[in-house]
Amino acid sequence: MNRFWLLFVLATVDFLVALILRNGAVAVLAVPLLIYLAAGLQAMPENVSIDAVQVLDQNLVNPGDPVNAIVTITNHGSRIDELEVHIPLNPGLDRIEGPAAVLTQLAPEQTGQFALTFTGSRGVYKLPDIEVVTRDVFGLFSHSLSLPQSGRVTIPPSPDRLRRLPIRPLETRGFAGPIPSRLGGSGTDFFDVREYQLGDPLRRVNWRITARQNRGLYTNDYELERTANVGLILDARQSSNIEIGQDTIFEYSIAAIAALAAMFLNDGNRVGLLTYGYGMEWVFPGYGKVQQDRILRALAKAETGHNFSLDSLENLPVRLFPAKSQIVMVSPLSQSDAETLVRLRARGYEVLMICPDPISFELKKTPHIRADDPAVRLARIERRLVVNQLKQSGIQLLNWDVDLPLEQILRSAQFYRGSRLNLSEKPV
Amino acid sequence: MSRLERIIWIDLILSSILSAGAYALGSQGIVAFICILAGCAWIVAFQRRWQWAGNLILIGAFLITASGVVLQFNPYLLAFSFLAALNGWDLIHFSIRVAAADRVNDLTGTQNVHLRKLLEVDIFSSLLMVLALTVQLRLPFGWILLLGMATVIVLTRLIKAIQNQNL
Repeated sequence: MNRFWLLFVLATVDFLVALILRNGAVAVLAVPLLIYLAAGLQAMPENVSIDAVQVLDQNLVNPGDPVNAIVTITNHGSRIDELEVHIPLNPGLDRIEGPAAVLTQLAPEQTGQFALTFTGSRGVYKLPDIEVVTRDVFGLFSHSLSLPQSGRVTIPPSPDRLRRLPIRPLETRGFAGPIPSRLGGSGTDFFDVREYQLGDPLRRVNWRITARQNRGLYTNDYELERTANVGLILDARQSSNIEIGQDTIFEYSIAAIAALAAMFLNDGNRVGLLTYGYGMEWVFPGYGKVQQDRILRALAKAETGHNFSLDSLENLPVRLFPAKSQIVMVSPLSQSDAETLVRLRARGYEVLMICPDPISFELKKTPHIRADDPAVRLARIERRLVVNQLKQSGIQLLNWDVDLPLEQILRSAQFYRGSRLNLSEKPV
Repeated sequence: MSRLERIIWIDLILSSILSAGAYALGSQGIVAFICILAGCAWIVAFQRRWQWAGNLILIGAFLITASGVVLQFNPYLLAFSFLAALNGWDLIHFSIRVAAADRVNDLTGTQNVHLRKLLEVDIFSSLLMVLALTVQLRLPFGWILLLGMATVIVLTRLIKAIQNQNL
């Protein structure tokens, strides 16, 4: 019951009893109640006008790095005897230091400052409103205000370092890079032998073939190494990403995409990102650090979502990616995806799938399910069928047990076979 | 024990002792004992931070003192007992608000402002209560009715004003 109304009812009852009994001494008990109420009413702030500004020392931080915030509360109204300030944080942010609720008093035009430090996991967080409650000195009357904040903090994933992946798209770009381009020229790997042309360095002349043919000079040709167009696809469909409690396999996909983007961009490739889930978020292809920053920012706000029209990969906008380029998709993979991926490969794209294994993930998170459970075995068989279908169509596929680092999985799979990843030997 | 807790203890003990004294003077030993028990219960409720108990015990204190006054026990002791109970009730709520905050800016200053205001209420209430209990005026029923109606009108306006301010 509201404290004001409790006292008011007691005073009224007391008066009524005094009137009924015609006993003045009974009415005396109402005196402290009424004076208390009157004192509270008199001490009530006449006009409440409060400003709150929350300033962050940085808006872009790595996961786990501390962010310092200063909250400044200014009273533009009359004196406030009790001011309760609530400084909430979004779910996903953890307070390291600083109060969640402060009790203070503010004179007119007085300012109060409170510092807090927090960290957070990947995400884009809009700072929540600051809630203030003003009260009279006895706390009888209160007035709540919600003061909106405009600050925003972005926590992108921090990319792990990956060793170079031997990708081999059908077409490369015109700039020198690390990817074999299927074209003869200057490089390190032997490519072909051709007739000598004026200007060829003598040390590239293949004397053995020249002697055998006896018709002129022959020169060794080496494979040109170029940069490539790489399209990264992040599968953010709710249906394919498992969530168990607070843990979601989607976070592993995010970490993988961040690491792959950093690795491809460091090699000078042109990288774009498509997030396919509730909607389609497209980061236009680009180069260098700026592009990496764009991709990380896009990954910071990536969330899983459900959209009936994007429930299967059928509506994947493949035309966004340059023809015959390399596509790297990170997806837990569902059975219905196979057909679209095969079609993608048939159009001339070189497709590399990195598939966080949802079965292993779920098994680790639910210890009561045994690995030899018939349901688990059936799920594994089903997955193996899809994987085999994709591999037969020429798609490179890596099944990733997310308990192991991606780098370790990639290394164990990097036995070159014609410059392609050998990903077929690992059991699914 | 903090200064605020000491004052709350004093208020609660004073309230129960004064009401128990009033009943004991009127040869109502059992009720006096109940008053002491109620005081102890309030102290336990305060120590255990039972927020729900505060309002109930204030209502109980009001009923005990009002009954004592109606039964014509010492009205001075009973009136001051109720004043002490009101003080204790207010300070317990204040201590809960202070404890709910992670940080209190200038705790001593905030406590001092609160205690000063409460002291003003106590002094003013004590004077008025003593005056009211000492000066006996015989008012005809019509006057009492008129005063009662005026009080109702003033209170109604007050409530409307408070509701308009959304407090």
